[in-house]
Amino acid sequence: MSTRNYWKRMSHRRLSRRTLLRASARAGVGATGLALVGCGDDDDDGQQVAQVQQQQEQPDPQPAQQQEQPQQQQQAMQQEQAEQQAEQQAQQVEQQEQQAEQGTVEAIEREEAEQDEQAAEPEVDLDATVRVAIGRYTAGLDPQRSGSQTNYVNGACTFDSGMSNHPETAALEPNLVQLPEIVDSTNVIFHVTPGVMFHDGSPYTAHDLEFNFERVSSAAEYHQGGETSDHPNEWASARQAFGTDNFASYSVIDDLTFAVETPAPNASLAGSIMSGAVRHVSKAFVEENGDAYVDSVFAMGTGPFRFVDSDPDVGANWTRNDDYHKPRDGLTNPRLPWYKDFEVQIRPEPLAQIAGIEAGEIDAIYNLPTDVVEPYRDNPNFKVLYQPSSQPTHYIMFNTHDTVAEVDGVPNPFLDIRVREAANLAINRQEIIDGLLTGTEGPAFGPYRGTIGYPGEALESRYHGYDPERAKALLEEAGYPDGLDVDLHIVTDFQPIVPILALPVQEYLEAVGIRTTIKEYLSSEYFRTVRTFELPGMFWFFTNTIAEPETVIGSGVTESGFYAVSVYPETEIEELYQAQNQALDPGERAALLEEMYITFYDNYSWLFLTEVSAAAMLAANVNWPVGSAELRGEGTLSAIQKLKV
Amino acid sequence: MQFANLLVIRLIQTILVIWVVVSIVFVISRLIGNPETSLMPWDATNEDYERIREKLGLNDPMIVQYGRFLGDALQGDLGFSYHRTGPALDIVADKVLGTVKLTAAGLVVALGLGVPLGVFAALRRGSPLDWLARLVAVFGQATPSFWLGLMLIFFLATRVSWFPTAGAEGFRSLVLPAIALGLLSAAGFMRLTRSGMIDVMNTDFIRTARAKGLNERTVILRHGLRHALIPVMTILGIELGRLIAGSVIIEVVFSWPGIGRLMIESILQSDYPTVQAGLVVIAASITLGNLIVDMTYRVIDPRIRMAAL
Repeated sequence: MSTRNYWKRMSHRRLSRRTLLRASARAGVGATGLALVGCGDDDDDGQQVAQVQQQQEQPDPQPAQQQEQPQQQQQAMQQEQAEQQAEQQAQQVEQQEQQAEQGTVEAIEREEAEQDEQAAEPEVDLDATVRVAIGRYTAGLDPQRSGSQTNYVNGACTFDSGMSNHPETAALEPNLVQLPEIVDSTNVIFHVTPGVMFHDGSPYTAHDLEFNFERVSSAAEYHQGGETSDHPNEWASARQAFGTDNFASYSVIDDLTFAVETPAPNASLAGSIMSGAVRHVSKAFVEENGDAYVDSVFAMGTGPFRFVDSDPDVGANWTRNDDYHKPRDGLTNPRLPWYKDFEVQIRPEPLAQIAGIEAGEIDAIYNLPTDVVEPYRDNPNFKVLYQPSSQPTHYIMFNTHDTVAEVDGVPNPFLDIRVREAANLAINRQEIIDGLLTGTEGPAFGPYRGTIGYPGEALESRYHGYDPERAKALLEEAGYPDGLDVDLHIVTDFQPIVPILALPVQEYLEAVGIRTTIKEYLSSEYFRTVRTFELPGMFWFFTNTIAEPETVIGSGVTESGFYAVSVYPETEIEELYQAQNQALDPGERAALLEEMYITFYDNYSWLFLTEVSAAAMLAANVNWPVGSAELRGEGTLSAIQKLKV
Repeated sequence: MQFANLLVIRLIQTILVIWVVVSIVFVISRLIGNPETSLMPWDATNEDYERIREKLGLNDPMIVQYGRFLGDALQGDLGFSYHRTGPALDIVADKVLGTVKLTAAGLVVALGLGVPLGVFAALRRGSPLDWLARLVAVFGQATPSFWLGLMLIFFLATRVSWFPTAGAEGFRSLVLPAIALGLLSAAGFMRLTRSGMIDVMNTDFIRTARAKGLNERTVILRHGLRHALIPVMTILGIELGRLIAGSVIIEVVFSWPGIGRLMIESILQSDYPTVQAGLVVIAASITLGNLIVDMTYRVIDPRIRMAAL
């Protein structure tokens, strides 16, 4: 398996002007050399011609016997001279070649230096307006209310999260809050970053931090019948699991210090509750204006942009928060934006989004289906970039719960590891990748590669591969010589690629004897259905891009997880999960995570499918540099650079 | 029957149509989705779901929900949007103007293109112009409006930048969606006008008009076209409904803010109140549009007016 970085594999390599110049220079030097020196047989022919010419220039030969010896000597001398001349010519050509190459290389190096200089200090238009097209924009402005959670743009622009992730390593970094101070195994202190200001000029304090955790868990006092719980459909949290329900106790020590006690050691606490899943609001602003106002009228936070206005059918506008607490340089996200005004245009149709770039009305689009950008890959007027999609790895969960221990009076086939192995061996992932995806993805191994503690080679080297004959043999061995019939439940409106991928997966499975009936659901039904664990069969699922692995592990692997359809009490997976969650030392946690992921993979716990990528498209004068662990999306909008034309 | 009586009967019919449409939507929407799942977070408990279902009245028997819905609807209350802040009817009403603008512009394109082309094709029957006009008509009727919309964007907005690719800012942004929407109807109007004109221009009263020495323009426009337009008026009501329905996809392609886009968003989010309010408005628009056309039809054609009396 390749250990190359996913994003590097995904990047679309194009011949730069520099590469072409270098190649043409080398070709020119080579051609010159060949012309001057000649090579192979031609070289020998040249020497022979020179010798013949020299012989012809000699006086008439003497009588043979008298002149034989001097003639031989003369011929030897002539030959020596010819060789010397040829050698001189070769040296001369070599010198010329070296000089030419030296000169050309110097020219290329000069140009490279100039380009590097320009790259280091691009002429970014700091007063520019950057316009981004997105397909859908929900009306709510409240980043914590359920129903507004898909309004990620406003969440990332107007608001901030407690911490961020390093753009290369995905490790936690300070943002509104510094890295946690571990007091003991169950006590953590969070220090608020001093000097962070809300857009209204008020400081962000530990009281705001406490309020946000209480609000997210619906425990804020004013929500219990207070004056501001006035939302017509009731206020419900979008991120209940990230609130104070996780805490045994908590308290504000002072304006900059917040202490948390957890019921048990919790290694994922900071990565979860401080992640981008929770955007922080102002306590005073919310209490003063009420939930309805915060959700529908005006958004105010500490984020890199100040909210201006929004219309859910047209778009929204922000302007740069010049007092933002993180600098513009470097790679850290979010940051002080490289441009002044930010405009989002709502364009439901992807082709209309691309047309906007072509017409100069749009600067950037992200999270595009890869097929729509295909015609633009080699067009110099655009930049096409590939990256993991928002659901970067896909897999199918076997329902192994007690509720389906028997299906129609026979034992659940997926309780037998041989059936699970057969299903995994039945899928030709590479063919799917080459035929239906972009050809740059890889097989899925469970967790997303950008998560903290992803084992990389240690996991990828155990790739199951494609072996339909072995799959058939395994099924027969497991007692299914005639195959088996199962339901494959899929969600059709969450990611358009799912119903497309489901068809070949169905065919591959059928080819080894696992006959599936595809049951389609809308997302509004699907996720709730999955969580009942009552339907037998297989459930299509995917990871997210949150760096903290807990969101996938906690929901999909541990036996009490929300979406843990595939549970295997007979293995050590649950013990390893609990152990990693209590390992406060990052190194120890990483080792336990690795062991757990490998155990999970070797157990054929899921039908591991493939990675799925998405595309971003930029106008030619737009840069969007992000680190290898971050995506072009809401979290990195402040990194866009629009160059002066 | 008096004109006023006829109007009252047609209004009652209109209300019945709206009631039937909304009732069907009420039943279907509750069969295909649970709105509470889109209202609640992914980590909500079953108790949370039950609480929100109880609050929204979704645990009541269907007939109770329906009765409550009708009772509220009669008072003009179609409920609060589940996903946008405010009464559903107000949210839909905010988008009416956008759809009306687009539909009206589409109608102007359809009539403005279809009728003159039909007249010219009929007057030069068998000529290359007639052949070309019929070709355009076939193309217009065979072309899906979303594809035509994308092609218009590609050629007229990105290649030559005559029009914006999307949005609803100013007259220029209305041109491409109006063409994409109206071309299909224009083709229908063209064919009807052409066949009507061919029939009319061979009638005795046209020969009489010419024999009286009227100039050809007057013969065509005052005598010929007036009669040829009667079948066009007949299908105008149907075409109006088609234009409103077609505006849904055109609004998506051109990012035009109107009821169509709102409906699609609301369907995806299982926002029942907004879907229902939108359908009430659309059904009312189509039936009222047909009513107006019928009334106008009776005004311009004395034979029908007399027949009704």
